[in-house]
Amino acid sequence: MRETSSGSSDDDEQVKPQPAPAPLSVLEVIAAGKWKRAFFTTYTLSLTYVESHVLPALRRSGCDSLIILSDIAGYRDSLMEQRCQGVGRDYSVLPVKVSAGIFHPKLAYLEGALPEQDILLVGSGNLTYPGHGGSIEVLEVLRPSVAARAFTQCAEFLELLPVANHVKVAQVAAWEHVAVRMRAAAATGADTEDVDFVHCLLRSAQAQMLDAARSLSGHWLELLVLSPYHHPEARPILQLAEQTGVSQLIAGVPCRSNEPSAYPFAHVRSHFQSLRIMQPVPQSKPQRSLHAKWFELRGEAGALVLTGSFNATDTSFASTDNVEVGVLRRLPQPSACWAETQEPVYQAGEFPQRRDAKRPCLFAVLSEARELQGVMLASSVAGPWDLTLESADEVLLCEQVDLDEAGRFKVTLGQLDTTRIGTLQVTLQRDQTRARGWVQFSQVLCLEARSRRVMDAVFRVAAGMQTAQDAQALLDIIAQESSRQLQITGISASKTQQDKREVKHAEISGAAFAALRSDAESKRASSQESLLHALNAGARGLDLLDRIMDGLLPRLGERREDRPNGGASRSGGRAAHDPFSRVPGSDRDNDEDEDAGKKSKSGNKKAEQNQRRVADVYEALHKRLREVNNMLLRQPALAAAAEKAKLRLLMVWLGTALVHQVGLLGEPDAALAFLREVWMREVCAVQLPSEDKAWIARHVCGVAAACAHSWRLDDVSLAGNAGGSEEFRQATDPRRELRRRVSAFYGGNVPVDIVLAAAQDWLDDPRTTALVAEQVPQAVEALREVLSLPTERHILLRALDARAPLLKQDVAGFSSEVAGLFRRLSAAHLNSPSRVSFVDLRRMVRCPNLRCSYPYMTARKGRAPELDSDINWRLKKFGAFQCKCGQFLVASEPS
Amino acid sequence: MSRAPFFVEPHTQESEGVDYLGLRALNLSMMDALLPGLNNVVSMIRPFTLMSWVAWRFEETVAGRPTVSSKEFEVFKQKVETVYVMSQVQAGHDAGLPGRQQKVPTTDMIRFQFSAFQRQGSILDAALYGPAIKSLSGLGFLSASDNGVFLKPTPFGRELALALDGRLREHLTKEQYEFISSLNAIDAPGNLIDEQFDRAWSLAEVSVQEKETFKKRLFQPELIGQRNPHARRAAVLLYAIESLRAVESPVNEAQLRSVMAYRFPPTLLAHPHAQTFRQVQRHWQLLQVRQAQRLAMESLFGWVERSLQHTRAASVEDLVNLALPTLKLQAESPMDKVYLHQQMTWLRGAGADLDELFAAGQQDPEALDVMTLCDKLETAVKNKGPAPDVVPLAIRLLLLSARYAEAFRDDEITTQEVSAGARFRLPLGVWAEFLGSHESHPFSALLHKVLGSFIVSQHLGVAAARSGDEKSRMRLSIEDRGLTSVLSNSKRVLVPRRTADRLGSALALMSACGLTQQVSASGVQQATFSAA
Repeated sequence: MRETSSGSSDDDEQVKPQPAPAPLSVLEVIAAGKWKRAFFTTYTLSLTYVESHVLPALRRSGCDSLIILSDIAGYRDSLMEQRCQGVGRDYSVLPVKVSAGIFHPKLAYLEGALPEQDILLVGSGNLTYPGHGGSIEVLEVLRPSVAARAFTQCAEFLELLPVANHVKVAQVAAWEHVAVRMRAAAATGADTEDVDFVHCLLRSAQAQMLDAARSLSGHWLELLVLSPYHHPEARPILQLAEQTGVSQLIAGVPCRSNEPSAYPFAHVRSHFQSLRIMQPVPQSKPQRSLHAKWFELRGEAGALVLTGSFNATDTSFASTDNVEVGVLRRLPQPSACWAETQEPVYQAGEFPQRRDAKRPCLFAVLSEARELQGVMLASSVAGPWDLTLESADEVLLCEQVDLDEAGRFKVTLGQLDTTRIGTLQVTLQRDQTRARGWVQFSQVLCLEARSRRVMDAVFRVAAGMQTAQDAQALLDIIAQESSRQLQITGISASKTQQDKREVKHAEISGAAFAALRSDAESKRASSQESLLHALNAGARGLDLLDRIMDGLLPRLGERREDRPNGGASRSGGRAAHDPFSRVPGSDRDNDEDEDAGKKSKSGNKKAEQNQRRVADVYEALHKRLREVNNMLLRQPALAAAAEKAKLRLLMVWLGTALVHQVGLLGEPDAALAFLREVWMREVCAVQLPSEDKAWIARHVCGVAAACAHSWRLDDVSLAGNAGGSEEFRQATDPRRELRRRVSAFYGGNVPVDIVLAAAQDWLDDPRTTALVAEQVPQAVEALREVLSLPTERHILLRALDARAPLLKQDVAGFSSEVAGLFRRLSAAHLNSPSRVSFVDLRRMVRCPNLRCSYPYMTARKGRAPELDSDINWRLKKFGAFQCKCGQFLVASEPS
Repeated sequence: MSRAPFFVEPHTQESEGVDYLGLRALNLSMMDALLPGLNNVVSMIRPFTLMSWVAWRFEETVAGRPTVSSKEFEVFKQKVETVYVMSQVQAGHDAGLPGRQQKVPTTDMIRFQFSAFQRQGSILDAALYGPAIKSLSGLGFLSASDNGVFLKPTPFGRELALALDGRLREHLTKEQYEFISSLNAIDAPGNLIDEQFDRAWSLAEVSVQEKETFKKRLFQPELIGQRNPHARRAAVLLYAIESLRAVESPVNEAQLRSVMAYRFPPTLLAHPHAQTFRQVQRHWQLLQVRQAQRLAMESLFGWVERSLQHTRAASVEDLVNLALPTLKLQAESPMDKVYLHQQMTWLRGAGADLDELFAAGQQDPEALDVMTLCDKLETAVKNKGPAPDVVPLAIRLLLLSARYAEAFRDDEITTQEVSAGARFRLPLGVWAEFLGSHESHPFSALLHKVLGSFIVSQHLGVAAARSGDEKSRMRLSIEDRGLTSVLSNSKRVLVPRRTADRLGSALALMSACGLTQQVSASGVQQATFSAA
């Protein structure tokens, strides 16, 4: 019944050596291509399905824009999905009201990179989980290369829709480009297939199918009709059968066992004694409920098949009351996806009438000027109405508004921070009449997809609802923008024109920001609204990172007890130190509250202090980053030399800021794991100029103390356990490694007092103190212990200096290989000193034993020869190495 | 592209997941605060010992090498795990052992790797012993290596490993020991794995040294009063031990859970950290009420699913109309208008503070004890149809949990804790606040909001937010008729239960290392325990 695209005339597909299996669902079609924009129409609508399945698939395919036209029934139903996060922010849902019937078309238009790559999908399934495969549905997938006429006809339909008398549709300007694009696509194609796009804005589907039947020569013999809903007396079927002169009717029935059929078998038999019963044969999982609609005339000239949204009811198939669409296709042979079956139980089934069909609904747009403009999609009473604006969790505004004669209203939202709320619904109520609708954020919707994702991620992280995708989106943009920043700042005067454009772009964004910052209104706006402005202004690099962090951190600094409706601030209780509390800093805050009567006032003060504290932390970090970048701007040569290391460092730094201050605030264990296992390694491994070390040192010290503290906790019981404990500690103690890293960071000479003071300072910060379970003095002490540990190299050098043999107990904790090496080396130093050489790693190019020919230097392509990495590593890590020739090498202490 | 219409293929995966309303995270974080480092799976000492030995043996072998690959560690770990499970299955000691479904190849020479044994999971997986065995998340026997490619033993892990190594050296032949210790050898004849392995590392028996080392990490009473995870766990374990001591006869896990909520162990009154144990009791009580609140919410969700499948209900209004008669209420009737206020007034009269409320719960468990009501609700939801008692029981629990939340809010220990967490996870305090703001409304209006916002909308929002792994979480959708269930059959309707709170695994581990005594030998849920 279907064929793969290998026979298509499409050039793109011809070059594919092995055509992929043809997609068999809307999601598969989306996944099979690269799309720029998508447009859907539907009767019922599941925003959950859109956000969990369709939107991710579209994003993966590169799609930047999604617009959905939905009947007001579907639109109204979707209002119960208050926790959906993208409607009005990441995609648009526009309600359509049809005065005499319903808006029932199910089509999708996917725009490719070029018009000829566009695809038009027309089917029976709504934009819901059942509609995309949960039920038995039918689908036509059309390309302009073979069905250009259908694209033109669909464009005509979309152009007619807003001007049809019985149709009221919102925001036509937002989707009128679709028809233009369809025409452009049609202009590139041909009509190698005999396909028409059918709609019923002007004539019923029945009339059009009859016309098509009459235009073909030969007799019609059979009429197959499959529909979940039927006229109780099969009137549209019988009329079509009569007028086409068929002698045989075929009842299409559900393939799920025990599912009744609404096909009026008895009525049809009273007109046609011979009635065949057939069920569809989908490729898999037939036990699904029936929702497909299929009309097929079969005769001498082949077959005429109409599929789409038309049900076998009078309203849908034989009138123009509804808005319906379908595809009328002429086939040389009848379709073969059917199997004879038994007649199922009959159960009358007209299209379900919704009790709330007459209930009005709203559509509203929040403009750039914070003006909420809306329209009621129903006959409405002009005059004052009560407006409520609410998010999933809170009512934000209650105000009276005036509805004009056209059902329009507008209200200015003033200081309301609407960008931190997520999706919003607006309600108008007057007496018993209540209308609700989604709010579209025009300023957010016009952003590119990446920016919208960042906006939403910032919102969700700040609201404590973050997903893994949000964290990923933020990390991605931090990585991208950090990289961009370094690339921009590292540009020299001799770069290419393209590079100059980059620089200009940065200058423009900086200027835009300067303007933004001086704008009084913008100053009053919330931090996240600043992010929105920044994104709209095309901010990039550090400016954008600045706004993102600005949007994230102050909100995270809020404590629950400071929020309106937070439980604690109203209670007069005073909690003692509670190790089981999941509320950060609760005891400290309560200690500050001397008088429950002053709670509210002091709560506000605390909030301000806390906000300032968080802002201070960020500001300090940010200032340092600015300094580094200013330095890079002043000294581009240095930037070029340090670019790689700095890029790496910048990533780590920003990642750390995000992880430990934002994403994992509730999980200090996980934050510490990241800092301990990734951050320390990276930071201490990067070779930095001393001026750069200064700004990162405080963090190194603090993280080192947190690491030391965590290991101390692990050992706490063991400390009192004599005997073998020291051996264990020596053998596996990661603190030696920490000491080595801190030492490496400081170039060998660790200023212990400065390090400890910096650690204390860093850990005292409210953002970081959770990393040590608020035991800052203990953590600093743990770091002091770590810094006093001798390294393996120290132990070896001490023994060599003392000219005493290394005893077994001296190296008891070392791995057997290192212990063996040290003991052999010590013995050689005493008995045969010439076999031991002290070497300077920076100058060594060969074995000190001049008779040894073992190669110490290795050359990599395009680079100067370097000391063998294994030798280098051993000498750095353990301070000793035994050459193949037997010579012992001991690394001199670093200067 | 199609040259004819076609029937759309079904979705590849049915809805899956466990937390359809997104409420579980709060419960887990409360459990984490009380019993950190454990989960509901860890119940035996041997897996800790075994994996510590793997890490120790590996580290010993690779020490001094400049580079080590994570692949080497994985290969070695898989060998030891497959050999271990094979030896325990042979000995019939595999009850509860992760990986026991592995299929032993029938060839003479066996490759001891997961792929050859058709096995997926490792003992170290996140859902098994992985988090509990590690340093930051658990008891601290293993930690990430400095280069991050393999796990290395902490001093305690090393101690455990050495204890097991001694047994391996004692019982295994030289050939067996060399094979199991080698990083490279992964192929061996099947008959090499004989009963000597079971003697060396039987799941059924751990040595005194292993028990002692394990106990040192599981239970560190000297830390009680501090804020770190080991201290919190120690306080709760001691509280449980003393609760066991306070009862006259052995009790099972459920009974102990209740005892811990209702009775403060008298032996802890004079403890230097008595205040810490008061906090333990309050947080334990709070957890039980939160468990009840979540169970009630999920029961309503399951009831909605059943109603959509078994009745013609297709909207929130329809669901409200189905639910009201089970509460003997009629929309807009005089009783409807005062029902909520009456119920809350009666509940407030039952006890002025937490202690009075819990005391009242003991006296009238059918009306006021959250655990008794949870038991009844868990039984009711097993009914295959939309059982008439699910909604009344769930509503009673929800109102009761709101009253408890008010009392927790007034208690100095839990005043902040009761509202901790994101609002969309509906912390108890937020729930009480919501209910309080609707107390003057008709109950039908409240029910509409609960079913619409906290059940249907909540589920759809959670399903939409968890779309990242391409698995569907959707169980409800909207179609021509309105709200509909997308489950393929009614067997898949949610039958909620309280999430296990780690008390069972804590009791099992405590008994395994001698802190408590398992009196009867049946599974953890049925077994009875007493103080050691």
